[in-house]
Amino acid sequence: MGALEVENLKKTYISKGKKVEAVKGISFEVNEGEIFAILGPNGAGKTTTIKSILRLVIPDEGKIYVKGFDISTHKAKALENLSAVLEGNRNIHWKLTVYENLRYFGYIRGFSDKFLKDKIPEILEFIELKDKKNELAGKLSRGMQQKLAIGIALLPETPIILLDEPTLGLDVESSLKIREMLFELKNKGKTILLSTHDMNLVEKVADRVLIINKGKIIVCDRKENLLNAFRKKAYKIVFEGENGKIDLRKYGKFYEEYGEKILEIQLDDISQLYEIMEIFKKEHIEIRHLENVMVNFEEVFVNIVRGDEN
Amino acid sequence: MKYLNTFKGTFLRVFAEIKRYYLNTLSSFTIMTIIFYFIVMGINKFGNPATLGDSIQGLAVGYIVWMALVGTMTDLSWTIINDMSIGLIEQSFISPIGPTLIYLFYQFSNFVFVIPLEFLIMIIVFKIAGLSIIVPPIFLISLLLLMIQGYGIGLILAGITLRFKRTQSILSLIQFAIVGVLMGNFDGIWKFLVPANGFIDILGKIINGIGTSVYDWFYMLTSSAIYMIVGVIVFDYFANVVRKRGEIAQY
Repeated sequence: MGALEVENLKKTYISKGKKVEAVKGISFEVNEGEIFAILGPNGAGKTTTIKSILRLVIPDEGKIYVKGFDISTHKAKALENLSAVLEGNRNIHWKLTVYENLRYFGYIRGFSDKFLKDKIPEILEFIELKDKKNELAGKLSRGMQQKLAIGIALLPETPIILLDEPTLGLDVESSLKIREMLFELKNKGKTILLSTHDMNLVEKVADRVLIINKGKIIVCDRKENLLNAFRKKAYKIVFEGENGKIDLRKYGKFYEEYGEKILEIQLDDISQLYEIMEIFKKEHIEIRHLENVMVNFEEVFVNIVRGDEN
Repeated sequence: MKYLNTFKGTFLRVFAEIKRYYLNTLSSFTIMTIIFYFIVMGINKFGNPATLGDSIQGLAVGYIVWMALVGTMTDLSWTIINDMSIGLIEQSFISPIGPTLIYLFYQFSNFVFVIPLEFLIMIIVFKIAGLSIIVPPIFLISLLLLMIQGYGIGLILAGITLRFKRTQSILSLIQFAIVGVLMGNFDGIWKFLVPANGFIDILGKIINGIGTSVYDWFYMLTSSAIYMIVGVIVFDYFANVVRKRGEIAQY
């Protein structure tokens, strides 16, 4: 049994008199202690999925189990195992201080004075806002506000944390800090469900990735498998001199950089690479080096989504 | 115990908000005091109190009831509007305690802070106007029951606000509607159903030293309980409607 199970989730909204199918039968499972990323273009159904898990949206069909509790019938039990940082600034009370925010959100989940007195200093330490505990949340930088939102989500010590766009609008340093925090949480055994457009974050922290488009799952696999699937098919050939009579553009992306001529090719079959090398040999084109192009997750994502669109 | 902790959380939130924005709190109560002062002075100098009520004391009862009802009926909706726009509402929905209880506790917390200030206004105004008012303890109990009824209606309005979002115009109209409800002359079942109307007669009787009957207590207890139960049901219903429509966060 996974920490979180989503079975055949379907949700249709009515927008301006028209039916909009946001999620069309999504099923997936998040394992204990993993960082699971949900990716997809705008309107893919990521936020609807996250909100359905949190019962902020009631789906038309499907079941969601949180630690084995069906959220539609055992809502309170399921929610006791979940906390969330929602998209944007929608997690903190701007008119309360950092300390008051942590205290308020702890109390409204029913926690006692003793628990909060012990836990809040620990959270302040973790989110590095100990020195800012008496400052109004509204006066903090965006990065600090996001750290506070994460602190609020950590306070109830739930085993599962949902993060919707945790690095949106953050500067590089703050994004790096959030990334570090995610690693630390994973090391503490937390299960993290991450919805983001930040491919760099996914590449660095995610264990498994679910890509959805137009409300349907395109792929759900380990991050390494997805990277490898594209890595082995992309090559970069660097050469010097004339390229003879052949038009290299028909083989891939051809360009010049710092006096070097470069041909980048995407292959369906590795034998095509040998064919191209044979052509180079015939034309007396001297290859300086050949490398397997390291694809980043952004390219993987774009390729998968474009493939689905086509 | 966890419900007590939740109440403590909402209480501390209200306290922090009042303390932080004390100028706003003070100015609103000063304005309420000044308005009442001018009403009392106007009646003393130019008017005939009989046209507005049986006595200055009657007017005071009406004013304090009106002020309490405006607060109890509309405060929660204003809080919901605020929480929707600044993004606090989702966290209340994610809490295992649930939004209905959290906001109900928020209302009661608000009440704890507001009621002493409202009584303070009444005492100050009567002192300034050179009047004396004796408030029997039974008056306070009846007022408390009236406010529970007001909180029930407040939950209904808050549910409507959750669903329809921009209800500021309705909330502004409520303060005038309450005047109509208080001054209206209803009989039979309508006396029981129209909020606050029955209360105003009973509160008037208490302030004028006339005793209360068993029927009065039956009316106050049952109508407050019914409005509160209906309020919780309606708020819960609209909370589910916005969950189904995916509109909790939208404002």
